[in-house]
Amino acid sequence: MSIQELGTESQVQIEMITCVIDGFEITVPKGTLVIRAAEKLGIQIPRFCDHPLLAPAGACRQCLVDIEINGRAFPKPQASCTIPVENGMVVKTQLTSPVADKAQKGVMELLLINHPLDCPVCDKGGECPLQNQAMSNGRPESRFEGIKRTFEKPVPISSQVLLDRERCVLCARCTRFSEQIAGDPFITLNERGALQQVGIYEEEPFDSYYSGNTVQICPVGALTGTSYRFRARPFDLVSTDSACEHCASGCAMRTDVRRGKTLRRLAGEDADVNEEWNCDKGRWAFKYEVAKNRVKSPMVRDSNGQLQEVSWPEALAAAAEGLKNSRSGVLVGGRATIEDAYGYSKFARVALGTNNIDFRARRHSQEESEFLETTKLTATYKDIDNADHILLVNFEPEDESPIVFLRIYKQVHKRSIKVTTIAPLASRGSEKLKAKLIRTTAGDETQAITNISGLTGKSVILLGERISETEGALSAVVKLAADSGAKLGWVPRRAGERGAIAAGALPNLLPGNRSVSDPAARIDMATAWSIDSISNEPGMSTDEMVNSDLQALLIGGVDPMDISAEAKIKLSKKFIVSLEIRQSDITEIASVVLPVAAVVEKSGSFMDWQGKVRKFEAAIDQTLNRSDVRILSMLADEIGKPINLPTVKSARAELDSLGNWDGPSSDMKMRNPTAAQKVSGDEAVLISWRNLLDKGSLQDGEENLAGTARKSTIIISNSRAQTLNVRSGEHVRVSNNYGAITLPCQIGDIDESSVWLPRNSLNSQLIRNLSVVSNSVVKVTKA
Amino acid sequence: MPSIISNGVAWFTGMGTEKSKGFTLYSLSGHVNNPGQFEAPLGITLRQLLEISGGVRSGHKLKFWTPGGSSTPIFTDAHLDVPLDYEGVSAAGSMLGTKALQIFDETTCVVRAVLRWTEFYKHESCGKCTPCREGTWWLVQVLKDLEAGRGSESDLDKLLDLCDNIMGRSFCALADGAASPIISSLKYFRQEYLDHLVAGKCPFDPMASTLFETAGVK
Repeated sequence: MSIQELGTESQVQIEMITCVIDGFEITVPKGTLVIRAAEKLGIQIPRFCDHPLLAPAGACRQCLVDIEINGRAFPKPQASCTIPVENGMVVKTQLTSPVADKAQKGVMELLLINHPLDCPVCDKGGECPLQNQAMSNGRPESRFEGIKRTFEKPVPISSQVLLDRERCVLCARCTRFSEQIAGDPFITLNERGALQQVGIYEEEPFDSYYSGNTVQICPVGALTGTSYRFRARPFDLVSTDSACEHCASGCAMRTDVRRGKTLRRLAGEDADVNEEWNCDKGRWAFKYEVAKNRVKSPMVRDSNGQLQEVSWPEALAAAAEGLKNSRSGVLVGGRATIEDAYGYSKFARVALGTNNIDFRARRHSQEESEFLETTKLTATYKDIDNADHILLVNFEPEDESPIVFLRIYKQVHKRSIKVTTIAPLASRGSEKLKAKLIRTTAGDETQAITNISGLTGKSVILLGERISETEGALSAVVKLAADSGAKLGWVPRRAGERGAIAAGALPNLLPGNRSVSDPAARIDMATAWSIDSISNEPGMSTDEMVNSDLQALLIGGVDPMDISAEAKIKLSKKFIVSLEIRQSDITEIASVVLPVAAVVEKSGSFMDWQGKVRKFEAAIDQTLNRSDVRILSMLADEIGKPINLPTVKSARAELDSLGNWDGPSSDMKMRNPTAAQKVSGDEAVLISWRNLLDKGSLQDGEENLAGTARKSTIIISNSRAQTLNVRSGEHVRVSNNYGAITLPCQIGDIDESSVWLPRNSLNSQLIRNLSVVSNSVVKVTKA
Repeated sequence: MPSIISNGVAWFTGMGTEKSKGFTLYSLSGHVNNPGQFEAPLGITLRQLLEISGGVRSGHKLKFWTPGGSSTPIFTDAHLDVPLDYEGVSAAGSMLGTKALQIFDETTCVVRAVLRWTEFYKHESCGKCTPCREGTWWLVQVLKDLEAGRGSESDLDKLLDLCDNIMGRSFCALADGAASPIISSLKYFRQEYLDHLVAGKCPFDPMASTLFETAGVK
């Protein structure tokens, strides 16, 4: 751990140790392992089980080196991955010690005796640490003439991970990852001796949101991803550093493309964000890019109501015609890049002359708009690393921002930090975090927030986007943060939301945190944009626009079912210009459809929940699709009110040049707390959130991934189960005037007034099925 | 314990050798007339222990033995007078270990005995680390071939080199235990290994070394 990483007010002085490796002196912080100190000198000691983010195992014995301390030599070579440096230590690696060199070659030979020579058909071939290190630190030829160990292959340890046991070198990286990093110890090393093998308990598959990381850190081809297996050779892939578009965790990624098609995605490295991990959704959900229903050319609805493919000039003319001179607005969607969001923001103000713009395609409130306008969100991953106490409010990190979960879990595992969650029930995630549950139901969170005590300046409050579903909760949090000095973080689900705020894609906010209500900020922006003025009237929110009599809407990637059950019908009465990658409920009703690039086909950046910009380049360049901002710029030209953002780069540069508003900001109007709705008999208050793996449209077509989604269940309290006379697993029906959902029930630690369902999972899509998602009274009966 | 408490420290330390004081339990098994546990002062020799235990199986003579269990390098009849204390055994190239003295007479094939031990270590290997897990798997295959008289003299060098790659390279001492009897048997009985290769089979009658052979049961 570096000094900087500790980052506390009183900087801790770290003891430094000086030792000699292969004749070179090096000084490193106390606790540094020999293998790591050698790396700093550029000396690569071969290794398999060693991984900088996992606890040392000393299992593979590949990293043996000769060590003496103050003239006293160890009698045998030592595993450099388990021994911290000491003052006076003299290390001789394979480069200077014949004994270490022979020991390493010997271990390598032993590792290979039972390893199949199937490199030509193995996914790992070409990027395999065993292959590479056998070449660099192995004998040229094996002396083994016996019989190799074989196993039946492959064993599916989940729908998305396959295990070839005969390739396994038993380094225990996967099992250590699952236990130490993900908190999902569903795989273990079974059996003994040469028959030792990674395995799962028959009835408990490898049901982890993070299983893909084990495939990535496997130093051989023992663990492979079902979707990628036998699909490509690593040396045929072109790799591009990218950023994950699936959530606001902000993972650095690597996208591997062959001939214009994404073959796989891997977790990238960023110590400040995702370390070296990502979640299975980020890794394995990308087929949407090549979905059959990709919109390939611009379309305009003809007089028969049919969409017809037309040329770009025709489509742009039709869109401009419908948008100009009408009362209009812009729905951005939560997945836009910062540059695209800036394009939408500028387009609304400059080309359409309105503040009617909102990125929120989910539940939202006026209180939330004000919160996002006025509140400083300062919490970061580093703050989680150093926190004494983490308070989660309406936030399920494992489902809603999985890398935030890993980061908290790391500190729970390492330092046993205190986690408190204000939530309706103890989820699997919060149980893993050993969180203290302050059980609430929808609508009464405010009281729980107000009652929180013991937070300090080192504490972190993390809010889920669902907090906007309870009036007064955000007001209470703002007060709690101010009173306690705790760092505040707001973690939306979608990758584009924080960026959209920065870009001013809100009815009350201009780019760079300039308030629409601030005349100076308006003049500043109008000058920057070379327009006469910006309306001082706050625009409409998403709900308001959908329900309004606006005549025309420009809509980015939005699913009307994320807004409300009636949204599609209401929108169908308006002139809709849809910028989309795929045919959707919006393109079905749109008058003009303009195709845009998917994330892999464009450059840009997302802003993660910390406010950190995550830039990425196009991974696929052989495409005609362009980023939204380019299309918007053409459309603005056609309208005759140009926004002059012909490229992503120009949008980036312009947004950067604007800077953040440093004028005075207003305070949030405090709301009074509400109470939970009263229920009686078979009534219950509906509560829900989205599981990480669900029916989200970016996961379309990923069957292997869907195989590890959590089963849809209805969670009820024990007393309700008794009243209904149902046992766990029996079917229960949740209904209201709109519709009903019937699913197996699960008895959980939930308030007896409440019922929980997954918000958008298989057989449980609440807006579609019930037209409500939370804080609404439903009936719960035995099915 | 009771005897130490009642007789005192001086009584206890009056026995044994300078550095290995007191008495201990020696466990004699195999080709010995009265196998069992023998309490004796440290530094006693095998020759003396055999006198107490009725000697090597009647009609036979000592061939090799383990001073401290199968994981310690073997000794031969040349080591009958090695003082069985920690220093004495160590000076003679082995370890006193568990003081489990396994006695083998001239009817025993050393290659076969070593193979059996190696199979035991292969079975006992927990599998965590490479040298032990993979090494014992390989050693058994090599020794099986040698016992059956397959292979050439270079295989003996390979076997020794393998042991060098296993010994002292593993997480715990189990792999060291697996390598020790192989290295020591090759040190004292290399010719016997070669005899197997010349004969193309094991030159010993395995029945002759069994205890029921002595009892007259075929």
